[in-house]
Amino acid sequence: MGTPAKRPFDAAAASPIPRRFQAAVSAVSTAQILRASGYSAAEAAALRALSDVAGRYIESLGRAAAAFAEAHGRTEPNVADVVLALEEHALDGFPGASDPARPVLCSGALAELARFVDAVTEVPFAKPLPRRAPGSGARKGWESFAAAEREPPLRHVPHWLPRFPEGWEERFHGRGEATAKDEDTGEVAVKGSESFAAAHREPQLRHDPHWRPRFAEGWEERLRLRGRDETAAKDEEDTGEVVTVMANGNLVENGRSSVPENREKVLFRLGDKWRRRRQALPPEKCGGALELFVKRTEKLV
Amino acid sequence: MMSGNSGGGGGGGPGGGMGPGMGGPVGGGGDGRHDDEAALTEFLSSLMDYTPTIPDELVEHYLGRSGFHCPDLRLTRLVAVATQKFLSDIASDSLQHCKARVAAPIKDNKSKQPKDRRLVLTMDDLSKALREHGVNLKHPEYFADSPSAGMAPSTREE
Repeated sequence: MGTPAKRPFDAAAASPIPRRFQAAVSAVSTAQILRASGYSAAEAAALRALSDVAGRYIESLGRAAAAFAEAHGRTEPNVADVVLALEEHALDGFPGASDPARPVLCSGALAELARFVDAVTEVPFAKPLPRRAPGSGARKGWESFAAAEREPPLRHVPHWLPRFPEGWEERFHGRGEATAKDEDTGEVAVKGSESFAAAHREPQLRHDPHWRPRFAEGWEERLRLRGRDETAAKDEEDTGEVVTVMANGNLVENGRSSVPENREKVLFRLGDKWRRRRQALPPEKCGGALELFVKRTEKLV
Repeated sequence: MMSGNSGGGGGGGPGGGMGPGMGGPVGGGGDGRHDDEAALTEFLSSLMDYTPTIPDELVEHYLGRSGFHCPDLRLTRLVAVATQKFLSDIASDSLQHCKARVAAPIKDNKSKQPKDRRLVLTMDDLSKALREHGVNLKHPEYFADSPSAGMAPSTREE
Protein backbone atom coordinates (compact mmCIF):
# COMPACT_ATOMS: atom_id res chain seq x y z
CA MET A 1 0.00 0.00 0.00
CA GLY A 2 1.65 3.18 -1.13
CA THR A 3 -0.28 6.38 -1.12
CA PRO A 4 -3.74 6.16 0.40
CA ALA A 5 -6.75 5.89 -1.86
CA LYS A 6 -8.46 8.96 -3.08
CA ARG A 7 -11.73 8.03 -1.39
CA PRO A 8 -11.92 7.99 2.37
CA PHE A 9 -10.98 4.61 3.64
CA ASP A 10 -13.71 2.73 5.40
CA ALA A 11 -12.21 2.23 8.82
CA ALA A 12 -14.93 -0.09 10.00
CA ALA A 13 -14.41 -2.52 7.21
CA ALA A 14 -10.67 -2.46 7.65
CA SER A 15 -10.44 -2.83 11.41
CA PRO A 16 -8.11 -5.75 11.99
CA ILE A 17 -9.28 -8.65 14.07
CA PRO A 18 -6.62 -9.98 16.43
CA ARG A 19 -5.17 -13.24 15.29
CA ARG A 20 -6.28 -15.39 18.16
CA PHE A 21 -9.76 -14.00 18.04
CA GLN A 22 -9.99 -14.69 14.35
CA ALA A 23 -8.75 -18.24 14.87
CA ALA A 24 -11.34 -18.78 17.57
CA VAL A 25 -14.17 -17.37 15.48
CA SER A 26 -13.27 -19.46 12.47
CA ALA A 27 -12.99 -22.55 14.69
CA VAL A 28 -16.50 -21.94 16.04
CA SER A 29 -18.02 -21.44 12.61
CA THR A 30 -16.22 -24.54 11.29
CA ALA A 31 -17.57 -26.53 14.20
CA GLN A 32 -21.07 -25.35 13.39
CA ILE A 33 -20.68 -26.42 9.79
CA LEU A 34 -19.35 -29.80 10.87
CA ARG A 35 -22.27 -30.31 13.18
CA ALA A 36 -24.67 -29.44 10.40
CA SER A 37 -23.01 -32.11 8.26
CA GLY A 38 -23.58 -34.83 10.81
CA TYR A 39 -20.50 -34.87 13.01
CA SER A 40 -21.03 -34.79 16.72
CA ALA A 41 -17.42 -34.29 17.77
CA ALA A 42 -14.08 -33.44 16.28
CA GLU A 43 -10.47 -33.78 17.31
CA ALA A 44 -9.05 -30.45 18.40
CA ALA A 45 -6.18 -30.60 15.95
CA ALA A 46 -8.53 -31.52 13.12
CA LEU A 47 -10.83 -28.62 13.94
CA ARG A 48 -7.95 -26.17 14.03
CA ALA A 49 -6.56 -27.47 10.77
CA LEU A 50 -9.91 -27.29 9.00
CA SER A 51 -10.63 -23.76 10.24
CA ASP A 52 -7.21 -22.66 9.06
CA VAL A 53 -7.91 -24.22 5.67
CA ALA A 54 -11.22 -22.34 5.52
CA GLY A 55 -9.47 -19.03 6.21
CA ARG A 56 -6.95 -19.75 3.51
CA TYR A 57 -9.73 -20.63 1.09
CA ILE A 58 -11.38 -17.28 1.68
CA GLU A 59 -8.06 -15.54 1.16
CA SER A 60 -7.45 -17.51 -2.01
CA LEU A 61 -10.84 -16.56 -3.40
CA GLY A 62 -10.19 -12.94 -2.54
CA ARG A 63 -6.77 -12.99 -4.15
CA ALA A 64 -8.09 -14.54 -7.34
CA ALA A 65 -10.96 -12.06 -7.55
CA ALA A 66 -8.63 -9.13 -6.95
CA ALA A 67 -6.31 -10.44 -9.65
CA PHE A 68 -9.15 -10.66 -12.15
CA ALA A 69 -10.24 -7.15 -11.30
CA GLU A 70 -6.73 -5.81 -11.77
CA ALA A 71 -6.44 -7.61 -15.07
CA HIS A 72 -9.46 -5.68 -16.26
CA GLY A 73 -8.07 -2.41 -15.01
CA ARG A 74 -10.27 -2.03 -11.97
CA THR A 75 -9.30 -1.73 -8.35
CA GLU A 76 -12.46 -3.15 -6.82
CA PRO A 77 -13.69 -6.61 -7.70
CA ASN A 78 -17.28 -7.03 -8.80
CA VAL A 79 -19.54 -10.02 -9.15
CA ALA A 80 -18.00 -11.13 -12.45
CA ASP A 81 -14.57 -11.28 -10.83
CA VAL A 82 -15.90 -13.29 -7.94
CA VAL A 83 -17.62 -15.73 -10.29
CA LEU A 84 -14.46 -16.18 -12.30
CA ALA A 85 -12.55 -16.82 -9.09
CA LEU A 86 -15.13 -19.41 -8.09
CA GLU A 87 -14.80 -21.14 -11.41
CA GLU A 88 -11.06 -21.23 -11.00
CA HIS A 89 -11.37 -22.84 -7.59
CA ALA A 90 -13.68 -25.59 -8.75
CA LEU A 91 -11.19 -28.42 -8.79
CA ASP A 92 -13.62 -30.97 -10.13
CA GLY A 93 -15.04 -28.64 -12.71
CA PHE A 94 -18.56 -27.38 -12.97
CA PRO A 95 -21.28 -27.81 -15.58
CA GLY A 96 -20.60 -25.63 -18.60
CA ALA A 97 -16.85 -25.41 -18.10
CA SER A 98 -16.08 -26.74 -21.54
CA ASP A 99 -17.61 -23.80 -23.33
CA PRO A 100 -15.11 -20.96 -23.69
CA ALA A 101 -17.81 -18.50 -24.61
CA ARG A 102 -19.89 -19.24 -21.60
CA PRO A 103 -21.60 -16.32 -20.00
CA VAL A 104 -19.95 -15.42 -16.78
CA LEU A 105 -23.01 -14.59 -14.80
CA CYS A 106 -24.90 -17.73 -15.69
CA SER A 107 -22.03 -20.05 -14.94
CA GLY A 108 -22.47 -23.49 -13.56
CA ALA A 109 -20.47 -22.68 -10.45
CA LEU A 110 -23.14 -20.26 -9.41
CA ALA A 111 -25.77 -22.84 -10.17
CA GLU A 112 -24.10 -25.26 -7.81
CA LEU A 113 -24.00 -22.62 -5.16
CA ALA A 114 -27.65 -21.89 -5.62
CA ARG A 115 -28.44 -25.57 -5.26
CA PHE A 116 -26.43 -25.69 -2.08
CA VAL A 117 -28.19 -22.67 -0.65
CA ASP A 118 -31.55 -24.19 -1.32
CA ALA A 119 -30.63 -27.54 0.10
CA VAL A 120 -28.88 -26.60 3.29
CA THR A 121 -30.69 -25.38 6.35
CA GLU A 122 -29.64 -22.02 7.56
CA VAL A 123 -27.33 -22.06 10.55
CA PRO A 124 -26.32 -18.56 11.52
CA PHE A 125 -23.26 -17.90 13.59
CA ALA A 126 -23.55 -18.52 17.30
CA LYS A 127 -22.96 -15.05 18.66
CA PRO A 128 -23.00 -11.60 17.11
CA LEU A 129 -19.55 -10.24 16.49
CA PRO A 130 -18.64 -6.70 17.51
CA ARG A 131 -18.12 -4.43 14.59
CA ARG A 132 -16.59 -1.04 15.04
CA ALA A 133 -19.00 1.74 14.19
CA PRO A 134 -17.80 3.93 11.35
CA GLY A 135 -17.92 7.11 13.36
CA SER A 136 -16.51 5.82 16.59
CA GLY A 137 -13.32 7.78 16.41
CA ALA A 138 -11.24 5.05 14.88
CA ARG A 139 -8.18 6.12 13.02
CA LYS A 140 -9.13 7.88 9.87
CA GLY A 141 -6.13 6.83 7.92
CA TRP A 142 -2.91 8.64 7.43
CA GLU A 143 -2.04 11.30 4.97
CA SER A 144 1.35 11.79 3.46
CA PHE A 145 3.21 15.05 3.32
CA ALA A 146 2.68 15.20 -0.38
CA ALA A 147 -1.03 14.62 -0.07
CA ALA A 148 -1.30 17.34 2.51
CA GLU A 149 0.91 19.56 0.37
CA ARG A 150 3.23 20.38 3.19
CA GLU A 151 6.96 20.28 3.36
CA PRO A 152 8.45 17.79 5.78
CA PRO A 153 9.97 19.76 8.63
CA LEU A 154 13.18 17.78 8.72
CA ARG A 155 15.46 17.53 5.77
CA HIS A 156 15.85 13.79 5.73
CA VAL A 157 12.16 12.95 5.82
CA PRO A 158 10.76 12.02 2.40
CA HIS A 159 7.52 13.56 1.34
CA TRP A 160 5.67 10.29 0.83
CA LEU A 161 5.78 9.31 4.49
CA PRO A 162 2.82 10.05 6.76
CA ARG A 163 2.60 13.43 8.34
CA PHE A 164 3.94 13.96 11.79
CA PRO A 165 1.19 14.15 14.41
CA GLU A 166 0.08 17.45 15.78
CA GLY A 167 2.24 18.90 18.48
CA TRP A 168 5.28 16.85 17.69
CA GLU A 169 7.53 19.88 17.93
CA GLU A 170 6.71 20.67 21.50
CA ARG A 171 7.15 17.12 22.54
CA PHE A 172 10.40 16.85 20.66
CA HIS A 173 11.99 20.10 21.77
CA GLY A 174 10.53 20.05 25.22
CA ARG A 175 12.81 17.22 26.07
CA GLY A 176 15.92 19.25 25.34
CA GLU A 177 15.33 21.94 27.91
CA ALA A 178 17.33 22.20 31.08
CA THR A 179 16.12 19.92 33.76
CA ALA A 180 15.78 20.19 37.44
CA LYS A 181 14.32 17.79 39.82
CA ASP A 182 10.73 18.58 40.05
CA GLU A 183 9.97 19.09 43.69
CA ASP A 184 6.28 18.80 43.31
CA THR A 185 6.05 15.53 41.60
CA GLY A 186 9.40 14.15 42.62
CA GLU A 187 10.17 13.10 39.11
CA VAL A 188 13.37 13.86 37.37
CA ALA A 189 12.81 15.31 33.98
CA VAL A 190 15.14 13.50 31.68
CA LYS A 191 17.48 15.80 29.92
CA GLY A 192 16.47 15.04 26.42
CA SER A 193 18.31 15.64 23.25
CA GLU A 194 17.57 17.66 20.23
CA SER A 195 19.19 16.91 16.95
CA PHE A 196 21.77 19.00 15.26
CA ALA A 197 19.25 19.89 12.61
CA ALA A 198 16.70 21.00 15.14
CA ALA A 199 19.25 23.19 16.84
CA HIS A 200 20.33 24.50 13.45
CA ARG A 201 23.94 23.66 14.08
CA GLU A 202 26.34 21.67 12.04
CA PRO A 203 27.71 18.54 13.62
CA GLN A 204 31.25 18.99 14.73
CA LEU A 205 32.50 15.70 13.43
CA ARG A 206 32.17 15.04 9.77
CA HIS A 207 30.78 11.56 10.07
CA ASP A 208 28.01 12.44 12.44
CA PRO A 209 24.64 12.91 10.71
CA HIS A 210 22.72 16.02 11.46
CA TRP A 211 19.70 14.20 12.74
CA ARG A 212 21.51 12.60 15.62
CA PRO A 213 21.23 14.28 18.98
CA ARG A 214 23.54 17.12 19.73
CA PHE A 215 26.62 16.43 21.72
CA ALA A 216 26.26 17.50 25.31
CA GLU A 217 28.00 20.62 26.49
CA GLY A 218 31.65 20.17 27.24
CA TRP A 219 31.96 17.00 25.25
CA GLU A 220 35.41 17.91 24.05
CA GLU A 221 36.93 18.17 27.46
CA ARG A 222 35.28 14.98 28.53
CA LEU A 223 36.66 13.17 25.54
CA ARG A 224 40.16 14.28 26.37
CA LEU A 225 39.81 13.43 29.97
CA ARG A 226 38.27 10.09 29.29
CA GLY A 227 40.08 7.26 30.89
CA ARG A 228 42.08 9.62 33.01
CA ASP A 229 41.50 7.76 36.17
CA GLU A 230 42.34 9.39 39.46
CA THR A 231 42.18 6.22 41.41
CA ALA A 232 45.02 4.39 39.69
CA ALA A 233 48.26 6.11 40.54
CA LYS A 234 50.09 4.40 37.75
CA ASP A 235 48.09 6.15 35.13
CA GLU A 236 48.78 9.64 36.32
CA GLU A 237 52.41 9.32 35.46
CA ASP A 238 51.59 8.56 31.89
CA THR A 239 49.73 11.70 31.06
CA GLY A 240 51.77 14.11 29.07
CA GLU A 241 54.46 11.63 28.21
CA VAL A 242 55.25 10.78 24.69
CA VAL A 243 54.33 7.30 23.77
CA THR A 244 55.99 5.85 20.79
CA VAL A 245 55.02 2.76 18.97
CA MET A 246 57.78 0.42 18.05
CA ALA A 247 57.91 -1.43 14.83
CA ASN A 248 56.75 -4.63 16.36
CA GLY A 249 53.79 -2.92 17.87
CA ASN A 250 54.76 -2.83 21.47
CA LEU A 251 54.09 0.31 23.33
CA VAL A 252 57.21 1.98 24.61
CA GLU A 253 56.84 4.55 27.34
CA ASN A 254 59.85 6.68 27.69
CA GLY A 255 62.17 3.91 26.78
CA ARG A 256 60.71 1.46 29.15
CA SER A 257 58.92 -1.62 28.03
CA SER A 258 55.22 -1.83 28.47
CA VAL A 259 55.48 -4.33 31.23
CA PRO A 260 56.14 -2.39 34.45
CA GLU A 261 59.04 -3.45 36.61
CA ASN A 262 57.15 -3.47 39.81
CA ARG A 263 54.25 -5.64 38.98
CA GLU A 264 51.45 -4.42 41.03
CA LYS A 265 47.91 -5.23 40.36
CA VAL A 266 47.15 -4.35 36.78
CA LEU A 267 43.82 -2.87 35.96
CA PHE A 268 42.44 -3.53 32.55
CA ARG A 269 40.02 -0.99 31.24
CA LEU A 270 38.60 -0.75 27.81
CA GLY A 271 39.80 2.75 27.20
CA ASP A 272 43.42 2.19 28.12
CA LYS A 273 45.11 1.45 24.88
CA TRP A 274 42.98 3.93 23.05
CA ARG A 275 43.93 6.64 25.46
CA ARG A 276 47.62 5.92 25.13
CA ARG A 277 47.56 5.99 21.37
CA ARG A 278 45.66 9.22 21.33
CA GLN A 279 48.67 11.19 22.35
CA ALA A 280 51.23 12.34 19.89
CA LEU A 281 52.26 9.42 17.76
CA PRO A 282 55.10 10.04 15.39
CA PRO A 283 53.66 9.10 12.03
CA GLU A 284 56.89 7.78 10.66
CA LYS A 285 56.88 5.03 13.20
CA CYS A 286 53.49 3.82 12.23
CA GLY A 287 52.50 1.53 9.46
CA GLY A 288 50.35 2.68 6.65
CA ALA A 289 47.11 1.54 8.18
CA LEU A 290 47.73 3.42 11.37
CA GLU A 291 48.35 6.73 9.69
CA LEU A 292 44.76 7.42 8.96
CA PHE A 293 43.88 6.57 12.52
CA VAL A 294 46.57 8.90 13.76
CA LYS A 295 45.26 11.74 11.67
CA ARG A 296 41.75 11.30 13.03
CA THR A 297 42.89 11.09 16.59
CA GLU A 298 45.01 14.17 16.14
CA LYS A 299 41.96 16.01 15.03
CA LEU A 300 40.18 15.01 18.21
CA VAL A 301 42.90 16.17 20.51
CA MET B 1 -33.56 -22.14 -10.71
CA MET B 2 -30.97 -21.16 -13.24
CA SER B 3 -30.13 -23.37 -16.12
CA GLY B 4 -26.52 -22.98 -17.02
CA ASN B 5 -26.91 -22.60 -20.72
CA SER B 6 -24.17 -22.20 -23.19
CA GLY B 7 -26.24 -20.78 -25.97
CA GLY B 8 -25.95 -17.18 -25.00
CA GLY B 9 -23.36 -14.83 -26.36
CA GLY B 10 -20.91 -12.93 -24.21
CA GLY B 11 -21.89 -12.43 -20.66
CA GLY B 12 -21.98 -9.40 -18.52
CA GLY B 13 -25.14 -7.61 -19.34
CA PRO B 14 -26.13 -5.12 -16.70
CA GLY B 15 -28.60 -6.57 -14.29
CA GLY B 16 -30.45 -4.53 -11.79
CA GLY B 17 -27.96 -3.28 -9.25
CA MET B 18 -25.31 -5.85 -9.88
CA GLY B 19 -22.41 -4.11 -8.33
CA PRO B 20 -20.15 -1.21 -9.01
CA GLY B 21 -18.06 -0.97 -12.09
CA MET B 22 -19.34 -3.67 -14.40
CA GLY B 23 -17.01 -3.99 -17.29
CA GLY B 24 -18.28 -6.87 -19.39
CA PRO B 25 -19.30 -6.49 -23.00
CA VAL B 26 -23.00 -6.30 -23.69
CA GLY B 27 -23.78 -8.91 -26.33
CA GLY B 28 -26.77 -9.28 -28.58
CA GLY B 29 -30.22 -9.75 -27.12
CA GLY B 30 -31.84 -13.03 -26.27
CA ASP B 31 -34.71 -13.71 -23.96
CA GLY B 32 -33.09 -16.79 -22.49
CA ARG B 33 -30.16 -14.80 -21.30
CA HIS B 34 -32.30 -12.24 -19.65
CA ASP B 35 -34.11 -14.94 -17.80
CA ASP B 36 -30.88 -16.40 -16.59
CA GLU B 37 -29.65 -13.06 -15.45
CA ALA B 38 -32.91 -12.40 -13.73
CA ALA B 39 -32.53 -15.69 -11.94
CA LEU B 40 -29.00 -14.72 -10.98
CA THR B 41 -30.16 -11.40 -9.64
CA GLU B 42 -32.78 -13.18 -7.66
CA PHE B 43 -30.18 -15.55 -6.29
CA LEU B 44 -27.93 -12.72 -5.26
CA SER B 45 -30.71 -10.90 -3.53
CA SER B 46 -31.79 -14.09 -1.81
CA LEU B 47 -28.32 -14.22 -0.33
CA MET B 48 -29.21 -11.26 1.77
CA ASP B 49 -31.96 -13.27 3.40
CA TYR B 50 -29.77 -16.26 3.99
CA THR B 51 -27.24 -15.85 6.77
CA PRO B 52 -24.12 -17.87 6.14
CA THR B 53 -22.59 -19.69 9.06
CA ILE B 54 -19.33 -17.80 8.59
CA PRO B 55 -19.87 -14.29 9.90
CA ASP B 56 -19.43 -11.34 7.58
CA GLU B 57 -16.79 -9.66 9.70
CA LEU B 58 -14.53 -12.67 9.55
CA VAL B 59 -14.93 -13.02 5.80
CA GLU B 60 -14.21 -9.34 5.30
CA HIS B 61 -11.13 -9.63 7.46
CA TYR B 62 -9.74 -12.51 5.43
CA LEU B 63 -10.66 -10.85 2.15
CA GLY B 64 -9.01 -7.65 3.27
CA ARG B 65 -5.79 -9.51 3.85
CA SER B 66 -5.66 -10.52 0.21
CA GLY B 67 -6.52 -7.17 -1.28
CA PHE B 68 -10.21 -7.66 -1.89
CA HIS B 69 -11.99 -4.54 -0.79
CA CYS B 70 -15.57 -4.33 -1.86
CA PRO B 71 -18.31 -2.39 -0.13
CA ASP B 72 -21.00 -4.65 -1.58
CA LEU B 73 -22.26 -6.99 1.08
CA ARG B 74 -23.68 -9.46 -1.42
CA LEU B 75 -20.25 -10.33 -2.70
CA THR B 76 -19.08 -10.96 0.84
CA ARG B 77 -22.03 -13.23 1.38
CA LEU B 78 -21.28 -14.98 -1.89
CA VAL B 79 -17.75 -15.75 -0.77
CA ALA B 80 -19.04 -16.87 2.63
CA VAL B 81 -21.53 -19.23 1.03
CA ALA B 82 -18.87 -20.59 -1.29
CA THR B 83 -16.61 -21.31 1.68
CA GLN B 84 -19.45 -22.91 3.54
CA LYS B 85 -20.12 -25.16 0.58
CA PHE B 86 -16.42 -26.03 0.41
CA LEU B 87 -16.36 -26.95 4.09
CA SER B 88 -19.48 -29.03 3.95
CA ASP B 89 -18.11 -30.89 0.93
CA ILE B 90 -15.00 -31.73 2.92
CA ALA B 91 -17.09 -32.69 5.90
CA SER B 92 -19.28 -35.03 3.89
CA ASP B 93 -16.25 -36.61 2.23
CA SER B 94 -14.58 -37.28 5.55
CA LEU B 95 -17.86 -38.58 6.91
CA GLN B 96 -17.92 -41.11 4.11
CA HIS B 97 -14.36 -42.14 4.92
CA CYS B 98 -15.29 -42.52 8.55
CA LYS B 99 -18.33 -44.65 7.82
CA ALA B 100 -16.45 -46.71 5.27
CA ARG B 101 -13.73 -47.53 7.76
CA VAL B 102 -16.16 -48.63 10.39
CA ALA B 103 -18.31 -50.60 8.00
CA ALA B 104 -15.45 -52.72 6.65
CA PRO B 105 -14.55 -54.98 9.60
CA ILE B 106 -18.02 -55.96 10.76
CA LYS B 107 -17.58 -58.45 13.50
CA ASP B 108 -20.44 -57.76 15.80
CA ASN B 109 -23.70 -56.21 14.71
CA LYS B 110 -24.47 -54.73 18.09
CA SER B 111 -21.38 -52.63 18.54
CA LYS B 112 -21.49 -51.06 15.10
CA GLN B 113 -24.96 -49.60 15.14
CA PRO B 114 -24.74 -46.30 13.34
CA LYS B 115 -27.34 -44.76 15.60
CA ASP B 116 -25.36 -45.31 18.78
CA ARG B 117 -22.02 -44.27 17.46
CA ARG B 118 -20.66 -40.83 17.89
CA LEU B 119 -18.99 -39.60 14.78
CA VAL B 120 -15.70 -37.90 15.49
CA LEU B 121 -13.68 -36.03 12.91
CA THR B 122 -10.18 -37.46 12.99
CA MET B 123 -7.05 -36.12 11.38
CA ASP B 124 -6.82 -39.25 9.30
CA ASP B 125 -10.22 -38.80 7.66
CA LEU B 126 -9.66 -35.10 7.26
CA SER B 127 -6.32 -35.63 5.59
CA LYS B 128 -7.83 -38.07 3.10
CA ALA B 129 -10.73 -35.77 2.31
CA LEU B 130 -8.51 -32.72 1.92
CA ARG B 131 -6.17 -34.52 -0.43
CA GLU B 132 -8.97 -34.79 -2.96
CA HIS B 133 -9.50 -31.06 -2.70
CA GLY B 134 -5.89 -30.24 -3.23
CA VAL B 135 -4.69 -29.66 0.33
CA ASN B 136 -1.89 -31.79 1.71
CA LEU B 137 -2.23 -32.28 5.42
CA LYS B 138 0.29 -34.39 7.25
CA HIS B 139 -0.14 -34.93 10.93
CA PRO B 140 2.48 -36.70 13.04
CA GLU B 141 1.02 -39.40 15.17
CA TYR B 142 2.93 -38.62 18.29
CA PHE B 143 5.69 -36.47 19.61
CA ALA B 144 8.51 -37.94 21.64
CA ASP B 145 10.10 -35.84 24.33
CA SER B 146 13.60 -37.28 23.95
CA PRO B 147 15.41 -39.31 21.32
CA SER B 148 15.46 -42.36 23.52
CA ALA B 149 11.83 -42.30 24.52
CA GLY B 150 10.11 -45.60 23.99
CA MET B 151 13.30 -47.56 23.56
CA ALA B 152 14.16 -50.58 25.70
CA PRO B 153 15.95 -49.65 28.94
CA SER B 154 18.98 -51.76 28.11
CA THR B 155 19.75 -49.69 25.03
CA ARG B 156 19.36 -46.32 26.70
CA GLU B 157 22.51 -44.53 27.51
CA GLU B 158 22.84 -43.29 31.04
